[in-house]
Amino acid sequence: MLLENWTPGFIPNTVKAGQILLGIGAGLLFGNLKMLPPSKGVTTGLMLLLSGLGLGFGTAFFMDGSLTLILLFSLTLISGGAVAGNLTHTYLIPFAAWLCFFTLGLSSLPSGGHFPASASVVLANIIGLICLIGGATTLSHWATHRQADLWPKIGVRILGSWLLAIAVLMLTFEYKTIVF
Amino acid sequence: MNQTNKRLPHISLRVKALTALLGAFFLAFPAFAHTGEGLVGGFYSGFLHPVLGWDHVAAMVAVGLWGAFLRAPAIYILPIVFPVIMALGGAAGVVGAPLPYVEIGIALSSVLLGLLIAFAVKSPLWLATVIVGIFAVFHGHAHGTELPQASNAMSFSIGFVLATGLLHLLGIGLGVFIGRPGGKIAVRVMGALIALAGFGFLFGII
Repeated sequence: MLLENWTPGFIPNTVKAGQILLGIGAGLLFGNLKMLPPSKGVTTGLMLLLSGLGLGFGTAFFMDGSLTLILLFSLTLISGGAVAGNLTHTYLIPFAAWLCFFTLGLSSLPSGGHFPASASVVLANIIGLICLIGGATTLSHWATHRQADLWPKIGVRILGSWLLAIAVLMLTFEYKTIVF
Repeated sequence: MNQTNKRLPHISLRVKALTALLGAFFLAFPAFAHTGEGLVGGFYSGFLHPVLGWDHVAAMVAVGLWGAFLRAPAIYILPIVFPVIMALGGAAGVVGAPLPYVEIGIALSSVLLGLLIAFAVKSPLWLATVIVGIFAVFHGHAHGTELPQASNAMSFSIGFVLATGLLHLLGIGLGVFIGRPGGKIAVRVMGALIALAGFGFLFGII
């Protein structure tokens, strides 16, 4: 009986597909943006990623839709603020990274799993997806950074944003009855 | 940023032809009201969803047009920001999060973006991003609320985002005529027409 409460659970295949699209989309987007200055990037980036992940889990556990909406509006204003801080080319990195980790946090709760056994599934899933984002970032940067023409880079960014949007919608579809 | 401005290449005739084709494709659809009724799940349904509402079409084309008007990096940043934030708005709509005055927000997006183009307003990038981002939430929420229950999530989402992106590209394609003689005036007239249509949506005339 005790073991029933120690089932790790699983990530459904449809959710997995959405997460992989999210990882690739984010990677394509990040790979063609300039990096933040290291002094600003490391601490700010880490805080944003952790807050995104935390808020994703928080939303999945506690929040209702209206609060999520407030978060969305806040995000819009934050991204505007980042641009105002002369991060015109780079503001998409913190914004998109925040969004990715929020969505990963939201969608990485295993179905049928129980804490703490499910933590291993969550951890393995998030580590795997971070590797995917890193891989896609590196590949897209490697494939386009030597090209003089800007349109391929812009095209890859736009494709990345489309994949990101598709993944967010897919994951919302899959989780709308479970989470909200 | 300045480097980007300098290195953006000239738009080829092929791209312009493709833009014209896309325009003809979208104009070929009848002007259904934006209700989402009768749509079933799948790619086609997702693709038609943004295209069947003229209020959405006008605003999304306006985003591309304004981006082209503001030039790089706005020409590609605005069409990146819009679908991502629209997806967030769509997610909020799917889960039933309340958002007041959605239809007014959508109509105002056509009015404001159209006027910004018509008066050739050179907004700073951060302000342009915030304006487009806020309107994207309204558009996404409207779509998310009206999504058919039986949708195939993946194919519907792909069609939905693709149609939105292509409408932006259509706007950008039209906007590149700014460089031609009389092109700037033509684009500003298009902006004025979008604003007029927006007033029509706002007061229920269209």
